[in-house]
Amino acid sequence: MIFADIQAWAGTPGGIAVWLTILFGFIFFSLLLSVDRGIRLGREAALIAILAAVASASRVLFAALPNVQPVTLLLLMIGLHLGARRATAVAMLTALISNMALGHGPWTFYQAIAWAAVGCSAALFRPLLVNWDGTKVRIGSMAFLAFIWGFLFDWTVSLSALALYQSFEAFLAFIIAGLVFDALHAVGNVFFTIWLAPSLHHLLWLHRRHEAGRWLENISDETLKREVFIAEAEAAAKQLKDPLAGVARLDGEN
Amino acid sequence: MGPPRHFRLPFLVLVVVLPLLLEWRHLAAWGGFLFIWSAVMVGPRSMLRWLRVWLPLSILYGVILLLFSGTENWSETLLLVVRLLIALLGMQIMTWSVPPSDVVRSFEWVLPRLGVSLAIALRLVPRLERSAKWRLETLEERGFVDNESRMKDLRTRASIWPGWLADSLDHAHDLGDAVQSRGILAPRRWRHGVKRRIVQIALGEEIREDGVKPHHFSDSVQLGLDLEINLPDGRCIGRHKELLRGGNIVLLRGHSGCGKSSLLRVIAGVSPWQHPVTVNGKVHISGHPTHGEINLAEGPFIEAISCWIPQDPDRHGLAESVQREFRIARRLSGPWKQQEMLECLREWNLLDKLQSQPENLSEGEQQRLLLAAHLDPAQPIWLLDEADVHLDEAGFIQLGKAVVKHRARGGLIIVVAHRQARWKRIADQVIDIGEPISAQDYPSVWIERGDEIGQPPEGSLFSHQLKPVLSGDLILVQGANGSGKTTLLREWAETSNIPWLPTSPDRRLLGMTIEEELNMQHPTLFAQFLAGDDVIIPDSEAIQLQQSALRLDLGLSHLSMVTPVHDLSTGERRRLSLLPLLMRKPPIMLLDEIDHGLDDITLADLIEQLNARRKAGSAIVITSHSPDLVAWAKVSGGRIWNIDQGQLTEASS
Repeated sequence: MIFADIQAWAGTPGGIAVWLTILFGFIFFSLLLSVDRGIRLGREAALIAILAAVASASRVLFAALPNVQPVTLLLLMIGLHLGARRATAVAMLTALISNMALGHGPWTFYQAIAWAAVGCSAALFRPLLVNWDGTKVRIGSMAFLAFIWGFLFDWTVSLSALALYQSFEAFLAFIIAGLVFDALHAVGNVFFTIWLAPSLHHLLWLHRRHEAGRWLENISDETLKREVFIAEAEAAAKQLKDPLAGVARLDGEN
Repeated sequence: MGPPRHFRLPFLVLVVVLPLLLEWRHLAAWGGFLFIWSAVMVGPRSMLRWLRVWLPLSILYGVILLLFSGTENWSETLLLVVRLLIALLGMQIMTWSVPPSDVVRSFEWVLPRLGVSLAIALRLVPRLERSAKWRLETLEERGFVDNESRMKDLRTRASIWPGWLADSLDHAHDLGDAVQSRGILAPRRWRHGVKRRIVQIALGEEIREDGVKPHHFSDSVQLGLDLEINLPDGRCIGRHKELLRGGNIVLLRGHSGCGKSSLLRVIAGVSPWQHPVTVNGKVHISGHPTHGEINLAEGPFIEAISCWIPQDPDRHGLAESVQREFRIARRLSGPWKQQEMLECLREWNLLDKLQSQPENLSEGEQQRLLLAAHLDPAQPIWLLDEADVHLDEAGFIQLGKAVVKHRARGGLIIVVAHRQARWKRIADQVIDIGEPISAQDYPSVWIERGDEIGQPPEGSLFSHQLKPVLSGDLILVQGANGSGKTTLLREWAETSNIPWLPTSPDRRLLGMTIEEELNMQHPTLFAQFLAGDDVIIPDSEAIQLQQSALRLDLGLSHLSMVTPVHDLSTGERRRLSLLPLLMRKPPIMLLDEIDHGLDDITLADLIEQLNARRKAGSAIVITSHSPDLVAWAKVSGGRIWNIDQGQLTEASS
């Protein structure tokens, strides 16, 4: 009887909002746990922090333009270069930090999830988004993906309206009313892709190059050989007998 | 500190759920209560700012709901809008009332590493916004805003953002190294609880916290180096086979950009990528209190293996409060006591800064805070990378005391310093990297003074009765840390509309690579860059020639044009940021801590440049803590200004 009640309730808008939230929360939290365990080095933690800070700062800087911000593109690039897990961490931190300035709400959670999904998609479609050796980004396909995400992201965030109003009509109205803003987001994403994607790609590529490290454990053979040669020469010079030892002084000093 | 974080959870549920359940009358009462509370808490102005954003949006959504949802019951829609608004306000109050450090702490409870990231990010967001402002300020200072073409202006402004991103990533590396070398991701050492203490007392054991007591390291500390430093082309610029023992102060000397900092980074356990040199070889540490023997090739390590004070305090500060900085810093010696921290702050003359945020301190104060917090007596090896540059006399003496004390404890201190004359007196060993630098005299000339060309600013911040600045004048501004030397230069630049050079080179660099940076140093050069090779803009060739001549004079001509700006050493970046200022030939040149990051030879060359400028009729105003520069200013017939509590006075020479 109780189960039937719960089943009936799960079909109502309020119920849907609750189980969606729980489901997303579960997936999201397990992802975050794995990210947290995955961070081993300080450099990685700081990189995640700085990317989140950049994304949040740019979101705050562009707050004047409705729904136009480079965060979606940043997360696409992060997913592309650093993988889905780190993108998830950045997504969560960005939502948290930028909303400290712009206002928290139920949407914070959905924004974090949607941006995590953005990062995951870029990691998934990586072969389509960069050229064969990964040195250049394909602007066309990147812009296309960013455009699609302009709408998808906003619809995911609109799920928070379901939790807030608890009615399908209101949710639908919310989505229809937001279409103009969604379009703005999508166009903005394309614009940011054209503007920033090449330099961001170059930067993150440079970062990976730096990560390879410049400290080589072994001293080059050439140097070692040179050292051995110098050491041997010195030792030989010490062992050398005085070349003038047996020679009588001829200058008549004694 | 506020109430514990879990007290806030029921409140969060309450503010979100309550408005959804209440009827009109109760809703009005609850809403009124929230409005009054928030108006009292953050003031009516913040309240109005909040309303300005959310009220129109809520009304808009209400109207849309009315149009699309098919209901004609407007009173219900109104109720819905009011509910939304009040729930929003409740959540906003949560944001207003929970300080970010509480959020960080609750994060560290569940997801510790992400908590560290969050702490760094929270500190960085305002820093990044400021750096965006500096970039726009730099553009204005270089005369980019006078463009007639709106489109071109927009394009110029757009072109600075990739540089901003590059700068941010550069920060990520620096911060990451700081996190790495300080062992911030290592598990915390806890203060033991009551239970453990009772057991210890009952068994008559000595009560020990879970940290390392600073002890006499005696001879146990040794650092074995077998290293070779190579340039990118493979040329070897130094081969070091040293065995450094505890109880010594070692001074590292060398030219700017010869890999001194890289060497310290290797010993600190972070990779030496920042400068384009390669370090090959082995480093071995013995006598570490927790690790014992360490082969650095087995790294990177989670725990800190030495105490590393990097070059620029601005780029390595992490915490949002002084107390948190201490909590982060003293990982090895375990949980610090409040009293210890206060004593340490008093020694470094920072006691009155306990409540202030580190990012609001001046550079010298930041440096002192960094030293006060991070010079951990439990750590056997201290690596000081130009730790003395921003310090005033009192700070330098305090640093000297700390270093000598650590030597007596048996610790090993490695110092990199460009102004090394004073370090040489207490150093037990001097190691030269590359060719040894001979002591350099700064070129001094006598220059006849000309006409009056300016006055320092006077107003609410500064007061003075100084003689006006004449052409050919050399003025050195002195003052303790935090007395407002940098503020004076900034105010002066603003009121008289002349460019100035801040200490941190990042504030005056725009491009990602050297080529980009050089192109953005002058509007004409940028116009030429935009136009391409087909169109030749008349003045551009002359400006380019002037720029390359200056690059040669400042010792920057050997750098490849495609080198990323953030791969350069601090000294090189600083000279690069000085270029546009020299190109503009302002009547008064305002230079903040001109000797920062420059070796003696480079500094002497730079001073020669400045002397030439003085001969041409400019006045030079510099701030510095270096006694060498003060002596030089006196010999060159310069004027010395003292600044104390906003009062500028001329020191009689």
